[in-house]
Amino acid sequence: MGKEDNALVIWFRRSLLFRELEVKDIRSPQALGEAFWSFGVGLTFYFTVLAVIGFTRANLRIEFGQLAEFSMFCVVPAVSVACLSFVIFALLWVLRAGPKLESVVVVTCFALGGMFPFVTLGMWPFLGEAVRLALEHQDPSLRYTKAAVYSLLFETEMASPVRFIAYLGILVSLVAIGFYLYWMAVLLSKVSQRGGRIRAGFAVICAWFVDCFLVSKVWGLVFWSLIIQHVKGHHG
Amino acid sequence: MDEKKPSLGLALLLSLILSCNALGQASVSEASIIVRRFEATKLVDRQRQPQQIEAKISLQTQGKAIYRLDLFYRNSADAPFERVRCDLLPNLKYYARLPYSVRIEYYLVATPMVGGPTKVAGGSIVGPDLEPSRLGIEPGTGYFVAGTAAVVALVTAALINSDRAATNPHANPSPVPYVAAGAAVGSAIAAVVIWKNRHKKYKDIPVQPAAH
Repeated sequence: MGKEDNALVIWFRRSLLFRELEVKDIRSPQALGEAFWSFGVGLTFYFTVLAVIGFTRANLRIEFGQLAEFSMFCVVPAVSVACLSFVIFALLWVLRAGPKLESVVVVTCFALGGMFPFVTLGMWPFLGEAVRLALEHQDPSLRYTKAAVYSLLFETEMASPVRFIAYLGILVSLVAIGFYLYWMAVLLSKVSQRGGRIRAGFAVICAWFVDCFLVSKVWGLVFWSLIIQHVKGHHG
Repeated sequence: MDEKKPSLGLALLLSLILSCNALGQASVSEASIIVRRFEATKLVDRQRQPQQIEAKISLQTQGKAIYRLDLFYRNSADAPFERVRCDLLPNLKYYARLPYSVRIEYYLVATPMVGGPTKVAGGSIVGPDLEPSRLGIEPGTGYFVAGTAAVVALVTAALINSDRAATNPHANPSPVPYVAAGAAVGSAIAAVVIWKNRHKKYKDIPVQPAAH
């Protein structure tokens, strides 16, 4: 990869074509930098969608201060990557697979950078409903996205096209998550010294569950706190 | 590619979020909690005899994060209050069941994540005035296990198959991964059905009043 490549090109070659990655792409000297850029592109997409939905649904004025504050929400995905990488590395170390921490971080960043846009697109129908619920209840600790999924999939009042889009969104999200987790396991087994795919797969799945239960809670708390505080600030 | 730039950005964002969080906590400390809706129905058995009272409570917390909600109740003025912890339903309403009585005095206590418990609201419930609903079945937690098993089975099946193909390209394809994948899909469907039934259970099922 030449030095003239910009972040979008890196993201396309590394995260979108994640399946085509080879061991040399993960172990190269510039791999860590590329991984951060690739993750950044995926995160920007994710952040943009959340900002659009948050600002339009919450009827907020777009001001620089608010955007700056809202962008702090991006810290949580960074914590998520760190948590995921560390747990995968620790589990593989316990299982004596022996990959380098740097390789684990690179694979995780490439994978999440590619996964974010698909999951964001898939969850698009639910995010608007989630914001509506958040403004109604105003408790940042509640799981509004889960409630929105529940509402759109199972509430009988919903029109069939809406429900179809909701099911399609869930399918896209699940396929994206499954695809990236699977290829993460495959790549980690390749970069490990004694790593079978089963060991790597076990580590990836366990780390994913830990990340979902711990980090997503903090993620939701920060995001909904920001949305609710802004609405309270604007509407008294 | 400069690797220091993303690290510097993340550090900056981290410091910003911490300062914002402190400001946020200060702003929510004076918030009050409002009961948006309090819906009570009486649960009747097959003989249409009232057995329990179910309460669904919808709160607006004004930005305050609630850790738990308790409902204190008593059946007579001289009895001590008893506590029942409210469950959070998937539709974000709090749910509690009380033994049926002609008149119940109650109040709600919310425990925030930061700060002490707060009395939210109170009142009384008149049993005979409530709308009747059928007594449902308590939901299980099987769907959590089914969903998790489905994901694990599917990924394991795929990994076993790919490992086998990688080590021995001439090996006969094993049916195990396909059986596992089938089981995974079945489990996933079962999970959805159970989840949906649980949702129905919490929806009101009106019954016709008994003829006198």
